[in-house]
Amino acid sequence: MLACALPQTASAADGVDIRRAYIEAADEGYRLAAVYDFELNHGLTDAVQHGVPLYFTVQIEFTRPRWYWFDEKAITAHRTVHLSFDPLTRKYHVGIIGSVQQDFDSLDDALFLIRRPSRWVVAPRGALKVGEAYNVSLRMLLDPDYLPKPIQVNAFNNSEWRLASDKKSFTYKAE
Amino acid sequence: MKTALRYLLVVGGAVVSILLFLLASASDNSGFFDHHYSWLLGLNAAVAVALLLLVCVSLFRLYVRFKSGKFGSRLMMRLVMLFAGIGVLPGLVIFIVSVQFVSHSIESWFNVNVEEALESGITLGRAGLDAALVELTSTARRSVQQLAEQPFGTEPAQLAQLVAQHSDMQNAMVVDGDGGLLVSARGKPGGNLSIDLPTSAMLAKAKTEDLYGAAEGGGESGNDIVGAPSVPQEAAPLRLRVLIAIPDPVRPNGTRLAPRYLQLIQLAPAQLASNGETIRSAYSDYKVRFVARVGLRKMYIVTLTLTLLLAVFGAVGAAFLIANDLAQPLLLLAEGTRAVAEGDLSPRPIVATSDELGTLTQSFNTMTRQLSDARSAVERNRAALQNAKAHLESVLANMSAGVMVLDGEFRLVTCNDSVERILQQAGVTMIGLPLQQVEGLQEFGAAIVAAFSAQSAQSAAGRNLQRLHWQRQIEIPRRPGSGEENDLTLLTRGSRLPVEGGSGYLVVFDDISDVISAQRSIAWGEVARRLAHEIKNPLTPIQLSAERLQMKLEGKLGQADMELLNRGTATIVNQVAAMKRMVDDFRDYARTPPAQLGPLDLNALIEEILHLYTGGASDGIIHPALAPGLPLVMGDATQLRQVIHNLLQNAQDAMTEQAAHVAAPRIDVVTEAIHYQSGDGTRTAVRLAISDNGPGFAQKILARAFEPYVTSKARGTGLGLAMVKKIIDEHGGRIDIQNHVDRSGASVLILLLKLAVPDNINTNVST
Repeated sequence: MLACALPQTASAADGVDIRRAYIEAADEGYRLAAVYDFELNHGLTDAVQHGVPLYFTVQIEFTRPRWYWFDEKAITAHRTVHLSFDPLTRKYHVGIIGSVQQDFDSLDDALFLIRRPSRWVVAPRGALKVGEAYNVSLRMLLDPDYLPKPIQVNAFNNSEWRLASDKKSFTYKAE
Repeated sequence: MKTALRYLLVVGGAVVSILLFLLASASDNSGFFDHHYSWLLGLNAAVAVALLLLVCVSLFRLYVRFKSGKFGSRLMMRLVMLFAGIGVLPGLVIFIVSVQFVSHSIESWFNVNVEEALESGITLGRAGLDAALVELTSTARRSVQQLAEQPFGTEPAQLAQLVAQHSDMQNAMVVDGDGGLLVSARGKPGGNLSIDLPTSAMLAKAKTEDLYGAAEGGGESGNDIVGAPSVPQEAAPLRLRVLIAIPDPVRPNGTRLAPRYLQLIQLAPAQLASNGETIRSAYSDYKVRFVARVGLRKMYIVTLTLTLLLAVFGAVGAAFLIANDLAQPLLLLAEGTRAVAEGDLSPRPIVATSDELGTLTQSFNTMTRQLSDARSAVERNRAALQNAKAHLESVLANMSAGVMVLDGEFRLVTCNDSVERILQQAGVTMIGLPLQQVEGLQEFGAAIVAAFSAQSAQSAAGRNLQRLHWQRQIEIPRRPGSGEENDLTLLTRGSRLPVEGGSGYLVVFDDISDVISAQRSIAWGEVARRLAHEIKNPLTPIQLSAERLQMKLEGKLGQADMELLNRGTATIVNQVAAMKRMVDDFRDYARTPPAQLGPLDLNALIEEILHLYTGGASDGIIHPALAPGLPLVMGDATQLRQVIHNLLQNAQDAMTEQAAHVAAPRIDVVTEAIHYQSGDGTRTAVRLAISDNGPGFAQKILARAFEPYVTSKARGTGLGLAMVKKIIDEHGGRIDIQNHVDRSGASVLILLLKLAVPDNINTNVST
């Protein structure tokens, strides 16, 4: 089942580390299993505890090199997870958009779900040609599209509101 | 600047305005551009940079022009500075005020009071929820007690009663230790009970602490970010959940039931829920804004700065345009003035505006046009004057009379060509000299001076004031070597010529030597006629007396005396006859009968005359060359015959004079038709030329050959050519004699101008 696993080199201190990432071919499709390592800095923690929702997005792209043309983009997918805190009930909510949300009492519990998310079916079977080698690039970041615009502007030159991993690439041979 | 650049600037300005507007409107928290805010920002920055470049390039160009002292750059510089100052300074002031305002006003929105109030609100909400939870917990405890006391099997009824008692109760259920549903009751029908089952964490807590109570729900509703992917979750209502273990008394039968838990879920009081929701969203919003305030300020300042930059660059760019617009007509005018100063009066391009500048250029053009008109008028007048002068000069030059202009001291100022011709003096040598000092003109000059002084004396005496000119006939000797011995007779008129800066004199004279000569011939003719009459009368008695003497004395005298007598008588008779003939000649000259003109074939006449000469000594000498088809002339056959005889005789005489002539004697008689230009078209004349190759005329004879008694012959009256001239004059013809240039004889040319009218040709044929 294990197709590919790459050792992860250390990335930026205030960024997101992709610890482990591999693709599993299961019956329902190709699944991504990944572990992300990151800490919320003080500003973000404070914002979350004041009820500001944060959105984390995982972007994944399967490309197949073609010598005669641009690379074929076989799969492009992204999944967004939101993290929010209700100051009234003092509960943390984590939810994948389009799916149910879970409540946690502590921030660490909530972040655990984001750091070690459940396996994500990236594409159904048949989206990849069996036997072909694909380049997989994976990225995880605090999605600025969901931030209020002034904070976006602030994020241009304020690293407190920038949280993103480097693009992690590895090769996957489709099964 | 070029038109294209101008349009580019206008379009660019419009684009920039739109961009700025979008940027400003995107600063508030809505709209499509929210999503592409960074793009918008970048685009504006790029436009600002482009404008900056444009302005820099323009400024640099202006500076280079200014440095090189190009005409008009100074004015442009001043105008640009002026307009740029007008545009930039207010913008700068507004910018500074706005930045100050924005920085301080945004900071002032956030203060500790508001934050504390929000914190308190949240705490209040929590307290409310806690109170409700406490109430629910006590209800739960009571229910648990009842459940424990009531016998097994009554639970559904109890739960139903409980739900019925509390209207806010969503459901009540009893679950086992693993979370499995045992009994339940619902406040309202419908809904999925399974999602409300307690989680293992809740159960664990209830197990260890006997009680789990918490508020829940009321989560995700506060995502106000426009453009973010929508969250399809229904906001869960705020509710309270209590999970409590049901105490398990020992059953009578000694068995213990498995641990059971009662879970009550109740909606939070509506007032509390809505207020709590409000305060919650306000709380998080405030936090967002608080975090975003730096960004917001940056946004405003960046927008303002961009606006300022665009405005400044726009102002400078517009300043260039306006300055150019304003300066263009002025530069045009200045250039025009310079061109006028250099004499170029061509019209300048007109600035097509209706304002004063346009009018100015138009008036400038009008002025240059008038100048140009005036100059061309002057030019025209000058040309006309020159033409008139040239005409006058040509009239003077072609005048037969000599015209001299003298100054107050009788120095020659100007003279015409005729002066040179008549006086045989080159005009250039005389100009500027007093007439008395010119070689050969001393007498003439003295005479003129005398005449003028006489006239001025007369004027001074008060007589003849109305006569402003004098007239005098002045004879001056010919220049030596001119070959003529007669004095030159000049009819001279003089008048005062008022000229600038003193007086001058105008002298007009005419060579009247020919007139004098003609008068002389007439006088001679008269004398000859009288003399002939007086002389002829005694000749006949003389001859008769001599013959009578001879007749009477014949036979009375001896042989010797007889011979003497005969000889003497013969001499007398001969001499008388000769004298008679001479007198007849005189008479003939003086009394030539008027010519009877009639159509005459000149060629026929000549042939008839030549017929007489053939066979004589002169046979083979005369060579006629008569043009065929010669038009008939009007002439008197008798007189013309005499003319031709005379001329032939002269020629023959000239031959015989030159016995030792190298060449064979030869006389040519040539007739031909001559076409000449006259006032009424081309006309025809007939020319008769008789030339010989004799010695030609002597120079002194040549000038006066046609005067009577001028002859080169030892014998002869000198009347031949005079006769010829007289006859030809009566025929209205011209006669001219000339020596051949190589001194090989002379020619006599007779031009008969009167031709027979074609009508007369058939009626009279020449004899």
